[in-house]
Amino acid sequence: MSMGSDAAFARDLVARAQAEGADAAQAITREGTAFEVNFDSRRLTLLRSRIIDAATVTAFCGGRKGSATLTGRDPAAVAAAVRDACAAAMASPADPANGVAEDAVTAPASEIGAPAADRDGMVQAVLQHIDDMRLEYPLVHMREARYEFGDLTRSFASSTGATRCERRGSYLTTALFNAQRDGKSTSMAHHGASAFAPFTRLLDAGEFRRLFSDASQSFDPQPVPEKFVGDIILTPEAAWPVLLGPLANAISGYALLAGTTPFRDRLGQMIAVPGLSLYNQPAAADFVYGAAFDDYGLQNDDLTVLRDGVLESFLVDHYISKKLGMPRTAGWWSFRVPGGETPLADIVAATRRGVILTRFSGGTPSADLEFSGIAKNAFYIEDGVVRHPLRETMISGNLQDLLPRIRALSRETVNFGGSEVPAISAGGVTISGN
Amino acid sequence: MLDRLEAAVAAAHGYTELRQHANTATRVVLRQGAVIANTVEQVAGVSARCHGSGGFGFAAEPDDSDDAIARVMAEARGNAELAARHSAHTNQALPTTAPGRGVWEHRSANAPLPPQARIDLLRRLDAGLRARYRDLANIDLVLQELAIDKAVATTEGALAFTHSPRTVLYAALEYRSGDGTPTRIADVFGGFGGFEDHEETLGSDVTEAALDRLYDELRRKADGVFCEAGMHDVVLDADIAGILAHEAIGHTCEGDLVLGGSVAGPALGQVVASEKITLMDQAGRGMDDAAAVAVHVDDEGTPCRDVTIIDRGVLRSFLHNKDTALELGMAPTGNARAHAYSDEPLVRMRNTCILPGDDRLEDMIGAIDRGYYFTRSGNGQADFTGEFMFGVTTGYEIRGGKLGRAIRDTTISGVAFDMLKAVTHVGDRFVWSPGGWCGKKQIIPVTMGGAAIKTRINVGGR
Repeated sequence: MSMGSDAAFARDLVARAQAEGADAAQAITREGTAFEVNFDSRRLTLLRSRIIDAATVTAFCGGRKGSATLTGRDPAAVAAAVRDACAAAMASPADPANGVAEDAVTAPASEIGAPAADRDGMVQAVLQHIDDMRLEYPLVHMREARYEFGDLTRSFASSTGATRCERRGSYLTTALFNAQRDGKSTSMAHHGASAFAPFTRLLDAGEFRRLFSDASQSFDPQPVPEKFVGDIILTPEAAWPVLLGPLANAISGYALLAGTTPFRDRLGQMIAVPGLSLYNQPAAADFVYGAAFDDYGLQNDDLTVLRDGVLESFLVDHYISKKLGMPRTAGWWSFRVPGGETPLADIVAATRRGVILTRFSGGTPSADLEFSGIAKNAFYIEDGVVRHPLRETMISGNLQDLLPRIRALSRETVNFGGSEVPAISAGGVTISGN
Repeated sequence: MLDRLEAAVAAAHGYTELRQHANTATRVVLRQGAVIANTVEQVAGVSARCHGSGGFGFAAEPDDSDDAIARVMAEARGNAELAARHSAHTNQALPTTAPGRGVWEHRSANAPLPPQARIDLLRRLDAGLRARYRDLANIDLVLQELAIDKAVATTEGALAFTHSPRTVLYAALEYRSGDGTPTRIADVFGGFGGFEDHEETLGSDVTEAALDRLYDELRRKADGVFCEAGMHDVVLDADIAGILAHEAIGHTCEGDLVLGGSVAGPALGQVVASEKITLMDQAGRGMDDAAAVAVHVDDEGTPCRDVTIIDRGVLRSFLHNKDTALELGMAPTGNARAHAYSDEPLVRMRNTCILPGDDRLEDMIGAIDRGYYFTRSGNGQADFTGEFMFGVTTGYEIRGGKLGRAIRDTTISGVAFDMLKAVTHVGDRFVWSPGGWCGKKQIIPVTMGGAAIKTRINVGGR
C-alpha cells in the first residue's frame, strides 16, 4: 500500500461516516509492517513479522462524538465500524467542545527513516551482539530482548478536506536483563534505544554499556544504613517516571478538566529551579516517536512548557482547548529537557548523602503529587563516593516540593526516541531501608 | 472458523499453531460529567507460529481469509527456518501434551444492549453522586468491556474456541480540602460477562451503596495521616493479597523468569512461606467458576490445568509454556497466552490466588498492637529477586488492636518469600478481583484473588 492509498482510505472512512449521518467526521489510519528478532543471551528465540493495518473513524453528530477502531479492510468490518462510530456518537450527550479541528490544513506527505527491514542484517547484528555480550559482559543475562524494525504510515483526513500523511521507518533495540554470579541474581533492569537507521553495533546503542556495567556491579546489595533525608540522583532512565511524567500529567489539559491538579493556578509562576526548562518538540527530526501532526490533524509545533523554572504553558489538545476556552498548545508529547553544565560524575562527587537510581518501582503519584517507591538498580552515595548497590530502599517525597529542590542537571542527556532528558539530582527526599 | 483452521493446519509442515483471534472492546469515559471518550474497537486477525530445529517463527495479519491464513503460515515457517539456521539451540522437539479440544462460549443469555445504555448508566451514577455529595471536586467514571474470541488449531491436534467477556466499571472520586490539597480514591466493579450481564447490578442500589462507602472513605482519607516509614505488622486485605499472589510470587515462578535467574528457581521443593499459605494459578474460571478470566486451552493448544505454586508453604511448581517446559525438563501447564492476534504466546498467569484460611478479619486486626490495615492497591511491581512493591491507596492505622485514622497514599515493599514466611493469619473470606491486567511485553487480562493475610512488611511514609 502506498502513502496515497492509505490517505484515500482515511478519506473514504470520513465519507462513509457522513453518509451514515455524521455532520462531521475524521479518520486516522496506521498501516505498515514490523519485523523483530527476539533473543536472549544464548540464542535467537523468535522471528516475528506483522502486517499493521488499523483505522479509527470518529463521527460527530450535533456535538455528539463517537469513535470506532478496526483492523484490516474487510468491507463488512469497515461498514460495521462506521455504523458503530455513528451509533456511539448518537448515544453521547452533546458537547460544544466536540468537533473536527476546523484549522487543520492539508500539508505535503512526509517520510523519514529506513524504507524496509534488512532482515538478514538484523539477524547478523543480534548474533554479533550475543557474542559481544559473552566477551564483554559475561555476567549479564538478557531476557525478552529484541531488535525491531517498524515501518508505519499514519494518515489523517477530516470532513473539512484536510489530509495529512506521514511515514516513519525506525529501529528499536530493547532488553530486560540482570547479572548472575554464583547462584546470585541482581535486580532486573530494562533499556531501549531507537534510531531511524540500523544500529551498527547493538552493544553501542543507547545506554546499554553503562547499564550492563551497573548490573555487573550490583551484587551483594545492602539497604541504606538508616532512614534519612537526602539527595536522589535520577539517571535519565528514572527522570521520566519519577519527575517528568507525573509533571506532564499534572499540567495536562485533562488534569485541568478534572480541576484538582495543584498546578491549575500556577501558569506564569516559578514552579521549579531556574535551571529546569522543558520543551515539547514532537516534530523534531531526532525524535523517532515524534509526529508531524496530532490526532486532530493539527500541526505539532514546538512549545515551551517550562522556561527557567517558570510554567509557561499547559499541555492542551484541541478538545480541551474548546472545552476550557484555552489556546490549543500540544496534541502530542515529545519532551526535551536541556542538560546542565555538570558531568554526571561531578554531580555524584558533590552529593553528601543520597541515592542514584536508574529505575523507580513505585505507585502512581497521588492526587497531591506525593510519591513513594523502591529505588531499583540503585547505589548508595556518601561523601561523594558510590558506596554499594542497594536493596529494599524506599524513597518518598512530593513532586511539587522536589521541583524547587533540584540541585543539578547533568551535561549528558539521553534521547529515548520520544524524549530527551539529562540526569537530575534533587534534595529533601526521605530515604529509608528495611 | 475452527473447520477452516483445522483444514489449514493439516497442510502444515512441522510444528504449527494457527490462531484466529478477535478482541472487541468498548470504552466510555466520563470526567466532570463530560463524555471524553466513547469508543468501540475490534482488533482481529490471524497468526501462525511455527517451530523447527530449535527456532520459532511467527507472523500475523489483520485478515482471516483463507489467503491470509496461507500467507501467515508461509511467513511464520520462513521466519522459523531463518531462526533455525542461526540458532545454537537444541534440536529437541517441543514437549507434547494431550491436545486441547473444546468450545467454551461463555456467551450471555441476555440480549446485547445499545450504546445508549452505557452512557445512561454512567450519567445516572454521575448525577447521583453529584446530587448526594456536592463537595466532590471531580468524578471519573470509566466503563470498559473486553470480549476475547480465540480459535486455536495446532498440528498436534488441538482445536479449541473460547469466548471470554469481561466488564469493568472504574470509579474515582476526588475531594479538595480547604487548603487546596486534593485527595483521590478509586474502586473497581463488575467482572466476568458482557455489559448486558452487569448493567442491572451496576445501576442498582448495591453499586450506589458501594459508591457511598467510597465517598465516606474519601472524606476519611482527606483527613488522614501519613504512615510512619519502616517495618510494621500489617493486615493486607483480600484485594492486596491477590495482587501480592500475582506480582510478588506468580511472576517469579513463570518459567521464562525462572530461566532468567529468578529467586524462585533454586527454591523448588523448599519452604518459602508460612504453612498457612497455599498459592495457585488456576485454569478455566478458577476453583469456584467465578474468576474474571476464562482460559481453558492455552494458545499452544495445551489443556490448561491448575498449578499449585506453593502448597502449605512449600514451593511446588512453576508456570510453563512448551519452550520453558522443554528447557527446564518439566511439563507444559497451559500458561502460554497472547493478548492480541498479532502477539506471540508468552508464559502468563491466568487466575492467581492465595487460598483462604480460617482466620477472622477482626482477630487479625485484634492481634496487632501498632500497625496498619491496608485495603486497596493502585499498582504493583516485582523483581527477579523477589523484591516487590505495591502502591496502597486506602488503609487505616491499627492501634491497640482496633482500627484508627485513615491513611494517605503509601507504598509497601518487601521480599516475597520473607514476607510470606512472616504470615501468621490467613482470612476466611476469599475475593476475586473484578478487573486486573498484567504487563509483560504485551498487556493481558488476568484475575487475582485472595484472602486477607497478617504479616510484617516495609511501609513507605514520612
